[in-house]
Amino acid sequence: MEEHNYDTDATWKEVLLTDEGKVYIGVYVALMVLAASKFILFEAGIGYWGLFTGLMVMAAAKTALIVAYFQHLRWEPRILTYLYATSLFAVLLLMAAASYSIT
Amino acid sequence: MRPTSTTDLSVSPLAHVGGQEWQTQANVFDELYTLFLVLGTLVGIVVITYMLYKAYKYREGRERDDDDGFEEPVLGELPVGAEKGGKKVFVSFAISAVIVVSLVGYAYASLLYVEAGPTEELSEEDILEVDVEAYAFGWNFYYPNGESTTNELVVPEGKAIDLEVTSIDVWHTFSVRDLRVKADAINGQTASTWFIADEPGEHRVVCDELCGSGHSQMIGTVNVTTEETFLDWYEEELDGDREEVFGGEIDQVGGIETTDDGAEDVDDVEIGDDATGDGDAEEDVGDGDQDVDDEDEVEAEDDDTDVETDDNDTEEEA
Amino acid sequence: MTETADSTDAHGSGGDDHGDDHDHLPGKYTVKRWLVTTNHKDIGILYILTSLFFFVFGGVLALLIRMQLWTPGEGLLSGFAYGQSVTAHGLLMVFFFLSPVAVGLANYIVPLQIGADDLAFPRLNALSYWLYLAAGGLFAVSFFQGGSFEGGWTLYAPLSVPTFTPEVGATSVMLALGMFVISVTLGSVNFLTTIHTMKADGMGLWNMPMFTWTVLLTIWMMLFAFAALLAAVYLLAADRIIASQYFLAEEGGSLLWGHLFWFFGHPEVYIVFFPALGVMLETFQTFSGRRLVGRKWVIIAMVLIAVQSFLVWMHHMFLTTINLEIKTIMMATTIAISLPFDLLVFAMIYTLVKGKVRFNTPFLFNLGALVLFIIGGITGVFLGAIVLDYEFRGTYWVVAHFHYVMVAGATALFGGLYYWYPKITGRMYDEFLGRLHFILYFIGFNAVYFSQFAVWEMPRRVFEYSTGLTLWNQIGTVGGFVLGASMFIMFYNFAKSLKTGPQVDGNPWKYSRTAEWSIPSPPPLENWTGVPSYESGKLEYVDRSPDGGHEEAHADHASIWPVLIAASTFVFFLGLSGISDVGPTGFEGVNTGYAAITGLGALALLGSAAGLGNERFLAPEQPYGMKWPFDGIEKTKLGTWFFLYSDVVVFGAVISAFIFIRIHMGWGEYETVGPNSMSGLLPEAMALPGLINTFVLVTSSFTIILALVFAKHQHKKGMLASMTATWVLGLTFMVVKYFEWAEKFDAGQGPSYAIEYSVYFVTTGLHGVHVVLGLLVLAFLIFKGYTGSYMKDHRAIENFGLYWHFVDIVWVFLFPLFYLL
Repeated sequence: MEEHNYDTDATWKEVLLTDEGKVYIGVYVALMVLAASKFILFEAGIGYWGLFTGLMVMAAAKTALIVAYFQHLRWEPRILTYLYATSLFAVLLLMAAASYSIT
Repeated sequence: MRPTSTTDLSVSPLAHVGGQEWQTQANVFDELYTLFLVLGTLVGIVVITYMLYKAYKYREGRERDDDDGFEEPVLGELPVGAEKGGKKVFVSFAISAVIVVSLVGYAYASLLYVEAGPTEELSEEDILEVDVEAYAFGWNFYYPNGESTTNELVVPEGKAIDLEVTSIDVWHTFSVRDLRVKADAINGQTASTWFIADEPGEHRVVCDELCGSGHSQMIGTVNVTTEETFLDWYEEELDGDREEVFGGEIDQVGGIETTDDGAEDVDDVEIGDDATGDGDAEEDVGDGDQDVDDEDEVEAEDDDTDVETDDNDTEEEA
Repeated sequence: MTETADSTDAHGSGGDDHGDDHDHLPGKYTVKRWLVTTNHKDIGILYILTSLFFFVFGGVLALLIRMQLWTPGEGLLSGFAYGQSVTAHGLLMVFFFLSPVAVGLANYIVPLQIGADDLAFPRLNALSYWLYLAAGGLFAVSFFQGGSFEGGWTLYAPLSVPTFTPEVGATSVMLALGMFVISVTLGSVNFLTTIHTMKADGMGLWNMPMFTWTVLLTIWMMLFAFAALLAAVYLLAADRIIASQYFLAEEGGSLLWGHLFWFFGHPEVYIVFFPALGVMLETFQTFSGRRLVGRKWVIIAMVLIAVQSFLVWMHHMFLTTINLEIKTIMMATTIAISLPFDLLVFAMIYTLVKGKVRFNTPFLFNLGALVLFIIGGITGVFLGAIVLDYEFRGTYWVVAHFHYVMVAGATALFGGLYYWYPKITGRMYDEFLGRLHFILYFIGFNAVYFSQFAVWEMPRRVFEYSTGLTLWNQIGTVGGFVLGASMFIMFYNFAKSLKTGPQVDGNPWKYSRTAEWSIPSPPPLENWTGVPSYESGKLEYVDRSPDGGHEEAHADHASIWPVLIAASTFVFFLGLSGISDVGPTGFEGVNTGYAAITGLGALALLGSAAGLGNERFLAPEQPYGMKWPFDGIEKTKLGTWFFLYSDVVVFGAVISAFIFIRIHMGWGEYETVGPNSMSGLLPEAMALPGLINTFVLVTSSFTIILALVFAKHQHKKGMLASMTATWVLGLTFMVVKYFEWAEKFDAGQGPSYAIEYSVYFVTTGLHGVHVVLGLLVLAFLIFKGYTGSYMKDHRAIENFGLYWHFVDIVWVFLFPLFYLL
């Protein structure tokens, strides 16, 4: 039942700098930059709704990176992405319709 | 049971101009209900009879000359459909769709009619505004002078009664079955509805939404009297001014919301302009969003007149 | 062509005859067997029997209601008791009877129809059942905690908040529903993975039997709809336990509940009906001997209904203050959804034409069900016409309508019980008793429910009514008793026939054709000898590969952990039900007794969950199978994704509640709790906790993906380091949050302080719960990784990562919404 205690010859650096590792590092850097940018946008003085739009766009960008790379959907069968989008769509529908109903 | 205007089926709800009598919600309902009932019963009988007949006709025990093209299914066959008959299904479906859609188209026209209300035909003298406040477990009715009665709503015949319904606790539903009048009573919301009672009489008010242990007993009365009797009663019992009692507007059924202090919300429809609920809402949303800091001031100023009319505050009117 | 065993085949569903040491499944007459079984057939039987018990429970309540209605006025039940009766009747029938009996049939029959050995995740299947039972148990307990909930199965707000229904029992009811949702979600994930990846070769989606089709659509709807219910119940439970104000405050209140509940509630009624429809489609084919006419259109219509079911919910709110435009849209969509049903009705009718119809009991019930459904459906069209609904809303017209359609569904399901009884038990029921049942049933049904149309002017859920309606009410009461009594004929029939019914072989019904009829009755534990395949165009058995045969012998069928997990969950939620006192002034204190129970339950839950995780369990492998459109996706990954789709809707609904409240209040009026750019203060400083946590969580997402990379390269130290880093970062997140929250609590700004605070704490709290659950699982994974796992099979790391990334994504949106805007 026990699996062997593997300890490969590969060093930390070698694993981290595989193609896969490099992609993830790059994505991580991009995510941190985006997170910091949200704060910068604060100071930009573009009014409330400008800020809102900008922040939502950034959030969407971060999400896209996490979904595509960390959750690997860029390389998985598309059906998983479509279903993800469907659940999001269902939620946005509820949000929009319920909000609209009281305006 | 329902002494409202006689149910005159020859008067189509689509013709409400040119001096014809306005069809109250009660009449519109009766007409539509009867139409649906007749058609629905007919369709139901036809379809069910057809089905039972076919089931009987094609019973296994019946003697047949040929096998009607019967193809015996095989255990373990890959599930597929019958070779023929799909077209018949689709045709029947199309016919039923036409019936249903027409019925609903007609119902939609009735809806617009009811929502529009008789505002054009009525003068201020023909309207009485009453605020209905539901609570667990009874009804308070507030008249134009601010006074109220509990569980008994007294109204004159022949006038349009504009009801603004709300609740001070849980979700109730104000309902007068005979007069076909109903509105949800929700805390923080004001739902509008209206009716016209043609003859004096008494009608039962019930609560149509489960609201707690006393839900069954939440019963009231609508007492429809002659105009004179009503005015006398208003003067004596409620200390009101008979010259100032009528007035106001018939609001769209369903109504709008106001916050408690009467100040209109950024995103609300403006009732004065929007009796038919077309498009104004979007404008308001757009406007309100920019001046986030000033909006309260701006809105309060713009809405002064509106605030007055839909508030319980009747000093302006008196 | 197909293998059928003779009727005396010793391969019963019990393991006692085999003495197989690889089964680990005790004999079928032992208690232990039923506690530990994970086999889909056993679980199906458990579901069916338990649901019939709840049917009797709900039925007794119905008869109490009918007795109260014998004459107008208060009878044997007080107003409070009557309210509890109508509420419990509705909840029990909808949640604890109708769906579970269908799930039971689905459990038993669907794998047999698609050629699978079991469900994809057998232990989760058992867990779903036990959670359902535990939820029912918690529901029953509610009556003893000051009274159960009295506000109707629709749980309308604000009657559902403690200010108006302070009984602890009311909270139990809601928590029981929450448990039920968890059960259903696990079940949906399980069935979706099964049906989508374990169909026999040659059977694509299009060629699945109709019962399986309807089950598939049911579980798709369940996945999304029950998530919305979970969100609604979560918010309501928060109002009841931590005194948040979602449903007491006007900005949320009745309308918010209406939207959330009915977004679930409308798909729910189709979720309840679809399996019944599936039974109807099967029996119409079997008992007419024909193939389904217009099959293509039927499938398309059903798919349309499933999608459209999410687009009509506001027709339950026509009398609220929603605007005319949306009401009109909802009227259109409501009418649109009635159209595909018309098509289904016609397809079934035409299938009878030129057939050879036999009026056996299953068919009587299903034909009767269709008649009743047609009546109910027509009356539903009335309700879609808004002007008519303006009057019907809240009256017995609605009650009569939904009883006609819902109980028509039950009628079909009873027919399904008769239909598959010989398959499940190996014996035939008594046909005469079956027909007698049907006749009495049909008479009783129409007496009780048609009388409700006659008294449509009565308000719902009342016992005061005009004396003129008394006769109709009495007819209804008599009808109700006849209907109830008729059911005992079925119970007697089934019980008696178990012993004395004639034994049957695999296929007692002429003209049946789906795969379940090609194996013995009852089926053997492994279902098939050989691998079923439709590759040749009909069902045949292919030899199992030598490896497969060897592995097959080691498939496990028993586990003690599901029942223990469910029992722990029961204790945990029982504790939560009374853990705090919440009254008109908000949070009033903690009850130590209940708190202790909660703690006990939590510990037991941790232990039994760890037990489940640690157990070596081999689910029956199915190397063959049609998987489109899910080809190439590993089973556990697919299950994780299905679960995440549901979680998207849960969070989405909770965030929608926030948006709704904020718009309702006026977007600019809303004072963001994590401070915002409008507060005029230095935003960086005030939003610092949120920003820190954003960096922390993003980094933890990075480290967990690195853990996977290390695992793939079998770099154990790297994997463990990354996992530990993730854990530490997650802990940091919670610590920062703790300080942030503590500061607010100290200032007296808890969930009941203002609606904005309710929303803040409850929404970020839901996210926090996800983080904590993740940390618990991760701790377990680190331990397992330390002791040698995941070097070869790193699926757990990958799947956990998917969950963790999702939690990060939610925060990506929560941070700006709750701190910056």
